[in-house]
Amino acid sequence: MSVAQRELPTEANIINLGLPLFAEAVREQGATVTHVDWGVPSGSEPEVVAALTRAYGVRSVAFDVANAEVIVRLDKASPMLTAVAPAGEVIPRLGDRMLLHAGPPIEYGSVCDPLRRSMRAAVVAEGWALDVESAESLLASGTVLLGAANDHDTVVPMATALGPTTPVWVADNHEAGTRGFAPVNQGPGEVPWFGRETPAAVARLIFLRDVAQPRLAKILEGLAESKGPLDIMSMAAQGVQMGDDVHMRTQATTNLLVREMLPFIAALGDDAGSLEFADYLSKNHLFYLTIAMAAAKSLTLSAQQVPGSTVVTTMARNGTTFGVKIGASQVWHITDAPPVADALYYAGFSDRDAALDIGDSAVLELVGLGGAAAAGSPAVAAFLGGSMADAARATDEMTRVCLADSTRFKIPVQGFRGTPFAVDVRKVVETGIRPKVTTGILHRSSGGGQIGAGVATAPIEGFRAGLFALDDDGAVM
Amino acid sequence: MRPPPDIGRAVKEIVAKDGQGEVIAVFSRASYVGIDATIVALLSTSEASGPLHARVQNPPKVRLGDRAVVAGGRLYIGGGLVDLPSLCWEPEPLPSGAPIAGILGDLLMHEPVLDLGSAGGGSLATSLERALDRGGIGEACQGIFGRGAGLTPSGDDVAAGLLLADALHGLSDDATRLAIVADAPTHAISRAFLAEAARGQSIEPMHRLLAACALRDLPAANSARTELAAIGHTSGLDLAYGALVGFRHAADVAAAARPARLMTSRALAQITA
Repeated sequence: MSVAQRELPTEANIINLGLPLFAEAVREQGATVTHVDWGVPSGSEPEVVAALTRAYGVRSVAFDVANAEVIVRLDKASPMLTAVAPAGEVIPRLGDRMLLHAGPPIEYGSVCDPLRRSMRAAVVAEGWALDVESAESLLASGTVLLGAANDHDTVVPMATALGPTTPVWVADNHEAGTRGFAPVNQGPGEVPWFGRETPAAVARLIFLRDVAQPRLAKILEGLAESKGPLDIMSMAAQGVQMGDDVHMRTQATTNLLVREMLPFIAALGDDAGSLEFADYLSKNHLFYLTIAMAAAKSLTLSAQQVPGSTVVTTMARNGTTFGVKIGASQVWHITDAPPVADALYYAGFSDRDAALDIGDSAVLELVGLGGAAAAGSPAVAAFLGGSMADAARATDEMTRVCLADSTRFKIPVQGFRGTPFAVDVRKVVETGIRPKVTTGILHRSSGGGQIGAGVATAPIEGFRAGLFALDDDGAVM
Repeated sequence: MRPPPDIGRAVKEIVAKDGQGEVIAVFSRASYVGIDATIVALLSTSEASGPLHARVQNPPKVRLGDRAVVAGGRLYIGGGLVDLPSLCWEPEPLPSGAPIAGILGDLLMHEPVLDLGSAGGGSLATSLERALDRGGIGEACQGIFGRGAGLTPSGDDVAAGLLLADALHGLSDDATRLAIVADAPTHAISRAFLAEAARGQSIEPMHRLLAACALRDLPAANSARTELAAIGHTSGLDLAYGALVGFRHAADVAAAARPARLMTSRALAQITA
């Protein structure tokens, strides 16, 4: 009896569970196969599976009730742009000699190079030191206090260091009584939020404080008197329909805002300061970024008012560590900051030059913008593989870890489906799908500023710690 | 004690040119990354070396579907850089002409379980030897590809042993063996291991077993057999079984190729007397 003479049945209908490669092999051979996408949750680690079982089991009813309230708060509230003011006048618990930074709290000795440079520039701009060398001594000695912006109801982009005189946007969420803050965007070029500390970078901070802030305040007053305060997320929703993810790309939304502001910009006159301000505005395609961030922070603060939810309410990176907060808890769950993958670099740079992920802007991903809105943004698609299908996949992945679709941020190319929001820590750990954050990339050591942009994937460890903390009522409930 | 971190021949070739793919399977001891048309097996240094293996100090935790990119000689999975060692593993060379099949047959003591149907009679080895005689390595492999259980089906493991023996003896050429593998009705991971066997490389204990048999070093051969027995459900021993059949066949081919001794008239007289 030869090998070839022995026969299997000539027909088989196959159901494949788990690894898709077996289904593909059968399909290649022309057989019918039904593939079931199944795997043991969270890499089969027993303690994680046990924590998921508890979170989806006996406590799920309470979690679901709390999550439903969080969904309403994140989706329905309308944060208003009510003011632009020096940080020291509005941000709670901001000391006289204190700098706020992105991500979890950090000691100066562990601060990454781009953020150190930004801090030194801020110290000089605040007038606490005459030059960056003296600023380094002050920072190293601990004379200048450091604080995590998120712990002060504030979010800052990239390597921003925010001092008491930094002008900040004020976003009022009247439905919840929360107030979020974010600095006026510094714009492109030699600027500290990209890790620069040159004289031009310091001058930009002084310009924002002395020139831009008073003019922006006048413009906001004019807007408020003519139309009432700006509904930040309503304008962002228009931007999403025009191709913005309102994180990496805010061009459409910025243009919409500048159009609204135009009569009041013209009313500023043609003095040197106003012309310089207009020039800054015309070159700043990310002008809306921090306005949206302040609004998003006011929304996540309202989510933190709800005890007992499993929704991620903070996701932030300081270039050294990455931290998340879950539900109402103020506990940071911290792990190493991830590299920015899926990146496009300026000529002459590569991943070897890149600093680790930094910035609080991931707050946007928590409310349905950024990576969650990638499917509608051709500009962002370039960083996610190049095709709109790749961008759609990023949004679809976010859908798998989110609890709801937005009723205000709609993606035209996907039949006006809402962007996913309300990231559920249980789903992140269960599926292993980490939220994607669209972001810029800074040089890790040269002080050369931005060298590219890309997509960072949040590390799983912080979410796992957050899941385990759900067992601790004191931390979450 | 295992040797230091290393990569196999195929991994070295994969990282030599830019490409991309994704994690296609994750197990407790190994993760498999599909890149272009081949596979990298990512595992710790506590596992054996092999042609598709990247043995690293601390294998990154990867997940099914994680994107893999090879760029500038580096491998990134899920956005993180995999720290690949520079050392490239090469199998232990076999002493030329040494008899292997005899001692290998004595110590293997294993019969693969293939779902070849209930109608057959005789051993699998007999079936394979007849297929080799009749249609060569192609017919023998095609009858067993994809059959049996395991991540790499037992039939594929046996076929890999046949291909390895064929390659080490040079009975057919690489192109012929790779063409046989290209049509194998099996999945991507198994096909990648088959292709490497067709090019003359398999997992390190397999090569060590063959070398020990060639040197008649029984303790070393038994040690290698024990290691093979711990690989997969029965993959390691199925592989060795295929190699055994292949080496026996190679010995038969070599014997048949030797010139026939001329019968002397005295000998003829003894037979016919």
